[in-house]
Parts: sequence; C-alpha cells; structure tokens
Amino acid sequence: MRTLLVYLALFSAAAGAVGCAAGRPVPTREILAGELAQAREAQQRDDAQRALELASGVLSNTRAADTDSAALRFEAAMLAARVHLRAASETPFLREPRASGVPGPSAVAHSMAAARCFELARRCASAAQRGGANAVAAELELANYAELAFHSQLGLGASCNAFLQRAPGLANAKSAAERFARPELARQRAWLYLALFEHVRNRDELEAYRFAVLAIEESSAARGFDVRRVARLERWIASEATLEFHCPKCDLLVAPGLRACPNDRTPNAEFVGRKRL
Amino acid sequence: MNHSRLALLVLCAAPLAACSATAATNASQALDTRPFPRLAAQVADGPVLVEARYYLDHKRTFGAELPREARVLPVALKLGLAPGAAGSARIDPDQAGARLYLPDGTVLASKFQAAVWTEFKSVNDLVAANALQSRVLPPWSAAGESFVYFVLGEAGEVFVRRGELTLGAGEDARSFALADALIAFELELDGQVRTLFVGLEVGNGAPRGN
Ligand SMILES: [Zn+2]
Repeated sequence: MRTLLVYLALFSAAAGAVGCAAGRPVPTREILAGELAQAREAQQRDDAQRALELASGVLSNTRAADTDSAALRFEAAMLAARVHLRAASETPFLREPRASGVPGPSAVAHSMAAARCFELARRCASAAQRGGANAVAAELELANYAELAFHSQLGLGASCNAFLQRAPGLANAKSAAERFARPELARQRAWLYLALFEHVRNRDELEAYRFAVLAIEESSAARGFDVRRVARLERWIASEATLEFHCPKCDLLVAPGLRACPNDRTPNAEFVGRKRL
Repeated sequence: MNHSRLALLVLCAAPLAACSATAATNASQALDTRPFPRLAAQVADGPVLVEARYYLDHKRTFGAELPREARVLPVALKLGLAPGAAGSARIDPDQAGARLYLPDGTVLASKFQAAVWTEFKSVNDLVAANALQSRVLPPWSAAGESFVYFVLGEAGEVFVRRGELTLGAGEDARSFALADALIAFELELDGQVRTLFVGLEVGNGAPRGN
C-alpha cells in the first residue's frame, strides 16, 4: 500500500496568508520594512528559504486593502514569487510524490507558489501604487509573462489563449521580443514564444513562423524545452505550414536547424513567407 | 465570477487613485490587475485529450462524502484520443503517479483505490468500481470518466468544504479554491512516458459516460 504522502510547502504562508494579522500584535511599518530589507538580502545571497520566511512574515502582517502597508505587501509578494521562480528553474526544494514512492524536487510546485504570490501582488497593486511602490505596472507585466510561460510549459493551451486574447500587443513578434527582453524572463522566453506560436498559427503563419524561430533560438535556456518540442516546431516550419519561408536576399529556403541563411547570414526570423508550391 | 468581481473592485479603486494628489503621476499609469486565467481543465497534448473534474455532489456517486469518510478527494478524469489522431496511448494507475498541486506549492499524492477504505462496504465497492483502471485510451467519443483519489492525510491536516480546501487550522489555516489546483500524471504515448497536466473544473453533476 502506498504511504500517505502530504507534502506541506516550506513557508507556504508566504503564498497563502490571508487575514493573519487579526488577533496578534501587528509589527510597525518600520519593523516590516526592515524584514523586507532582510528578505532582499537573503534573496541576494541565494538563501531562498530565509527570503521566503521573511517575506511570509510581511505578508502575514499586512492586508491588501491597507494603503499604508500595501507597498510593503506588494514588494514582499513579488519577492516571494521571484524566489519561487528562480527555484523552479534552478534548484527546486519543494517536493512532490513520485510513482516510484521516492519524493523528488518539484519545479511545478514552485511555479504554482509563484503564481499564488503574483495573485497576492495583483490584489494589492493599486493600493501599493498609491502608497508609492515602484514600477508596479512593470512588475504586474512580469507576473503575467511568468504565468503565461508556466501555462505554456504545462501545455494548457486554453488558458494561454485566454490570456493572449486580452494582450493583442504580443501578437507581433517584434513587440513581443521587446517586452520579453528583461533578464528575469531568460529561462521562460522559449515557452512564451511557443504559446504565441500556438495562438497565431492558424490565422497568421508568417508571424507564427517568427515565433517558432524565436522559440527554437531560446530553447536551450528553457528548462524542459526538449528536442521533441524543437523538432515539432522545425517540422511545422519545414513541411506543415501552408507557407514556405525564404531568405529575402538570396531566396534560399529556410533550414530550421540553422539560425541564419548560410549564404548571407540573414537571421531566420527575417525570412519571408510565400505559398508552398 | 470571482474574476469579474475582482475586476469590478479594480475599476472601483481607480477613481480613488485619481483623487490622490501626491500619487497622481503614478496612479495615472494604467494597471492590469486582472487575475491570470485559471489553469485549463480541458487539455489537448498531441493526440491525447484530458478533462478533470471535482464533483461537489460526489456523494451521489459514492454514497458518502469521501473527504470525510475516507480522507481522499475523488477527481474524475476523462481521457481519450482526439478524433482522427494517430498513435496509441495507455495509462496504468500504478505507474501514473497522479498528484495534485495546490496554489501554495503543497502537493497531494494519489492512492490506489484498494487502499481507499470506509466502514461501508457499499461505498468501498463503488470506489473500486469507479476507479481509473489500467487501459488503452479509447477514442474521445467513447471515453468516460473514472476516478483518481488524492490523499488528504489525517483529519485536521486538510479540510475540504464545497469547492475549497483548507490546510492547517486556526490563525495559520490557508484556504484555496480547488478550481485553482493542478493535476499531473504520467501515461505512455507510442511507447514513451509523457507527463500530462490539467486544471480542475469544479461543479455538480453525475460522472459522464460511466
Ligand atoms: Zn540568404
């Protein structure tokens, strides 16, 4: 019989604390600001568990509707999300059960926790902005892209498309690349481009081609973006699209395994499409 | 529902921000505070289609509230092959390693149906009869739902009420909508092991096609 397995996330109050301030003495804003500063220091020295513990304290002692502490709460939630995101892509320490019976590290558990922290941040974002938090809009944008990458990695096409339908600015490869340029997204970019490829492939093959090329280019940095996925994109480019893609300078047919035209180094992403004969 | 209520709150909060003279510049920057769409509860992964559902009224199927009587959460899975799909897929619950991820990163394991026990034989029989069995995936049009049972631990550790799951107790209790949970399991597709992920739909009704 399988052993009972319930893995409680370390410091999961960082993600789940709601209304915990009731009934306890609430630390002053200065104390909470000090704890947040310590959390940042712990994050910088890669002490993920300590950073989460401190961020959890700030979240437990603040409320989304309280403008005075909303900026602290927002920053604590975003910090905890970043710590989970980094753990997901580098060294997961949350665990999950395995069919073998031996629990293993779980990147997915960290990504779930990050998504929860992003949601906590969204709920206090307006108050945080009024309270003087920095770069709130940019932080919320990061939250959306990180969640989109997570859903894409899980293969959840419907929720990816639901998000992309309300983000029309991303349907253009050039503007998407500008928005995804921030370094925190380096390990997520291939998944983001894959989501965009799937989203537009049936209605705009030239743009889908560009997203496929970008996804292939970013694939080596993305955890779990394996050769099977790359091969599927290459197959679409080479034979499944109704367009075929040619170098605009020498007209050479694209070779998806290369990054650029071998004749004149024109990047694959700049190739043009025309009806397949 | 939940999402639109939040969106409404955001809309209501905007005029307040505009009233703040000191933060006028910041507040004029539009914020997108809409929640990210929920994890999709219907997924197509290559030729495989999957749906996951938690029935609030599963007592109609089993004759008992399984979270209370057996400390498990019954989740219905519907698995099949997309129309016209080539390939062969097989699932074996012993090898599937089904697990349920909660929004805080807590992960619940699944349990073999034979290990799900209540003091009522009729319930135990229904648990076994409705459990996911080892099988080759049928075409989607012929697929029905069968159940995977997730372990809730000892009484007091995890508490399920309607569509909400609570971990711990007292001031440290943390509650999550089951609709925000994620399920993963392994199956074999053309001889290769693949991990599938799917969100959880929560609602009433009878299991379909059983
Ligand atoms: Zn060329």
